[in-house]
Amino acid sequence: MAARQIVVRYGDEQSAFKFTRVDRAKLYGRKKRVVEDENGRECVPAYLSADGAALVPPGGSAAVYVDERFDTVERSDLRAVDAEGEPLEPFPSTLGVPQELTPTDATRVLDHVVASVYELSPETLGEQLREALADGELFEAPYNYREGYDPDVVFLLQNDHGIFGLVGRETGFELIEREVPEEEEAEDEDATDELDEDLDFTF
Amino acid sequence: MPRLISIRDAKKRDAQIEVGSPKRRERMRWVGPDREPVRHQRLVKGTEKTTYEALLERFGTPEAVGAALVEGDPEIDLGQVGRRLAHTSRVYLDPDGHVLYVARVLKVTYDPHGEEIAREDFVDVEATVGEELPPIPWSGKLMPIDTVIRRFAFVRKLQLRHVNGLTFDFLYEIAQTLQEAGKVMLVRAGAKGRDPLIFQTNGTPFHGFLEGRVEGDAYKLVLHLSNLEIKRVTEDAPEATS
Repeated sequence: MAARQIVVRYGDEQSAFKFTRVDRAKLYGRKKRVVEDENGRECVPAYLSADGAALVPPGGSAAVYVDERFDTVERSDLRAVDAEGEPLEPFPSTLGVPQELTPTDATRVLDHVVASVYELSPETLGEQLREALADGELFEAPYNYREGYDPDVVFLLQNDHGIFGLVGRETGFELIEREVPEEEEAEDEDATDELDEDLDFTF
Repeated sequence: MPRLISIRDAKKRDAQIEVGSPKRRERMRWVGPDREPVRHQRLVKGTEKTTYEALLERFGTPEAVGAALVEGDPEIDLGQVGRRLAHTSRVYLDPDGHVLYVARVLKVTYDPHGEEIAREDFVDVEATVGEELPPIPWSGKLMPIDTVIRRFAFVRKLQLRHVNGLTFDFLYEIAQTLQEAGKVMLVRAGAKGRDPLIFQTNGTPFHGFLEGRVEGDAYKLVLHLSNLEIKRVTEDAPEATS
């Protein structure tokens, strides 16, 4: 089975899809901001350091990891840890590896930001999945393009144009309550409607 | 710092409220081999004096550049390399590597096949949504959730949040209205609600869809933003085998 396929299992059937990224440039074209000099020659952006001493052209910078002593740490020496500092195991890529499909609903899709849209071209498509997608059912499965520590989810759906995979990341948005200051929460047992004490106006 | 926008409800009341982006996932972070903290840093690797073009101008021929590289390290600007690159200014360099003082900024448009179809002077596109801008109107155009998630990719989302007790009631009511309808509402900017949502000058234009949920005394009001339809970009799909 080709590695660059989204492979899913639904019931006792396995389906495999080739995928192509859908983006704005392919659908609508694109716009580019171009800077030209007085002779109509295209120019490139560069960085000028704050003291004006360094003019850094494209490709003139390097992104590195440094420790507290400002020593460079090679990428191969980096270790992934969780919030408590415990080592994390990477999640392998899901491409080419059958992933269990779970039926889901539209609200789950709304709870995710779509990071990528893939047009899916079925290499093999199980009959049950074909029917379910045609009936408008939605599915989700774990998704990891390459080995990493932050797996995403892919939603499978069908519309008038075909079958698509939406790679999503959870928003983490929560329901919001009204914050009531503590002092307002407790009822003042002594409160009355009458002004039964003198107010001090001397301040 | 929270960003404020104005929005109008079905009763044509408007209020200034806060919008927030999704939380960053911080499930993991990188440490060094001895678990010491590390941070990402951008450093100077080369300057305008060490590009191939600059070396060619300095030494005359490619062969001379090669010989100079064997002899010494002209490609390394020892006074600058390794410096932290921070608080920089953006400048433009002409093809000769000189800083540009007079520039013409153009907008070049390409069709989906990558062919250039227009080239014109770049004109700033102002934001249509913001603290000082008119409120986002209530369009009343409701769409089934199942339809919109199949037609549009929601590539950005903003949560609408109250800033005081009054705006809590205001947003709660909007969320409740939308939940009861079981639909999302198309949201666009401008007095007549015909303009795309643009949150900063020259920012990405979006169509918005407002979704509301309530649960007890809590609400969730999310503006789903899309600039991409869910459509095929290749020819017809090949026949699949079952």
